[in-house]
Amino acid sequence: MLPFLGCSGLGGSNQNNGGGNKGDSVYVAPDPPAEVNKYNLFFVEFFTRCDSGTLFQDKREMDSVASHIGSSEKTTPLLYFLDRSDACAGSAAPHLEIACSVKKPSHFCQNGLSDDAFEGTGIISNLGFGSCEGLVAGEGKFVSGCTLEVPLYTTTEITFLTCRVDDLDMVRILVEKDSTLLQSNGIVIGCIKDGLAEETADYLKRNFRDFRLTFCNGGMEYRVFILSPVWYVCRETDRKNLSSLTYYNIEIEKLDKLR
Amino acid sequence: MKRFLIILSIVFLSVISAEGRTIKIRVMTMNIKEGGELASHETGPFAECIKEYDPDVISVQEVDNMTIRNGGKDWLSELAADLGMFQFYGKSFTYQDGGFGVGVLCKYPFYKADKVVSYPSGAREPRATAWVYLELPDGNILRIAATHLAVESDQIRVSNIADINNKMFIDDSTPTLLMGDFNADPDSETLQYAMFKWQDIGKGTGDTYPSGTPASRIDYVMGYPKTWKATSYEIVNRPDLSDHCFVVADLEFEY
Repeated sequence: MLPFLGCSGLGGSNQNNGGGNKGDSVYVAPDPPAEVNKYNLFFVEFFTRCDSGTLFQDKREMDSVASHIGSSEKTTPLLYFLDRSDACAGSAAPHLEIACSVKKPSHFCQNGLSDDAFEGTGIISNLGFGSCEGLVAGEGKFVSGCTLEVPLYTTTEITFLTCRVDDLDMVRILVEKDSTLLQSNGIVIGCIKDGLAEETADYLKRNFRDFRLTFCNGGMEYRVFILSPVWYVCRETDRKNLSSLTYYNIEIEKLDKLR
Repeated sequence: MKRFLIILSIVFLSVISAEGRTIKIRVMTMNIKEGGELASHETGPFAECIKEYDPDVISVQEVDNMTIRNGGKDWLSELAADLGMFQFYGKSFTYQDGGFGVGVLCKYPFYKADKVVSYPSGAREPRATAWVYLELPDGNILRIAATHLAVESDQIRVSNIADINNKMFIDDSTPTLLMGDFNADPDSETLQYAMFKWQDIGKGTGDTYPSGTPASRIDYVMGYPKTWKATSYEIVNRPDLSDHCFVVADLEFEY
């Protein structure tokens, strides 16, 4: 298991209302209860190379992921995120090929545009999608994802969003446009440029509230981050390997009470 | 004062850039009859047909999702993979251990999608309408919806449309296309009600049902706002694939 390099709760108290420049006041999320409620726990798997390249370098890697998903029966992740599983117009997207082979619903979350491909994250789910959410977060940049009815102790509607953060403007737009979702039932799991992580944490704690931010890794071009409402806490992130690919097993708990 | 002039210039330029833009798009709508049963529930024959017309977006009706009769396949996703497109499925109701509903396919990724399921009193079954928001390569934002209205009566179909309008027109600023099987003739009460809000873009074009020798026009491409133009509108008669004709149209919308 990797240590949390970021923070869940970032200092200060509850002076802010979200969005805008709020100056020097700083938000701190309350510590979550020490005891984990296993009935409110779910996990997702986030495949990424944490760099600027595409996830799949050859067909064998896609086959490995399909085989991995197809055999995950007892401890089933809610979602599989395939970061930078880019799609080309007119060709089957990698996540779609995998989803068809394992007969599970899928969605392509566009994150950006390049000359020859739609850059994005494939999501493969063990549950059906109710709807897909998203917003344009700058020129050719998108934050998008899907909403699921998650079978926790009480069935809970959660919107999972993903994006690649290459500049702070994306974070500003996200917080300004989607603050209600991000403070209620929206969880963003994505990648952020390593050099932007601390700046983003600092921006959020001064301009937003009722959230938790966790980073999974460090020292690479990108870091995996989880931005959730304060009612959710990332309990564990575990880095694992699957043939030549790396994925992060991310365990999240919905909190019934904050302390 | 200088700051005020700069802001005024930005506002003025925004207005200029929002006007004078044109959306150009090729659309297709197809009722595939009972999950594609005439093609043994295979996606290949439909993919071949679609490739002939090369549409940007497609509305598909009567889509089976992992049903017993289609061998448990996610039909829409398999068609999307065949075509290299992006899919969104809207389930109307549970059928044969799977789903039965409508789907939207797009050449471009969509960043937002939703659906409404209408089940008015007296209706035999629920009916889904699904839609996606996509940003076209030229930067224009467009909403594409697929629908399949009830077969029972005008009264129920009017309720279907009311449910669609209530949910879709929460956003009334995005140019929208609503395509599919309305199960109603152009002079029906259903169409009269639909056209309070929507434009029948193919008004006056040919019949679409039944395929082979079509005798009534029940498959439509509707637009919002009511200023869409069709530069071509073709009825595709493929009785080997469906009991409905398909519609392919080249459309333009000017801001």
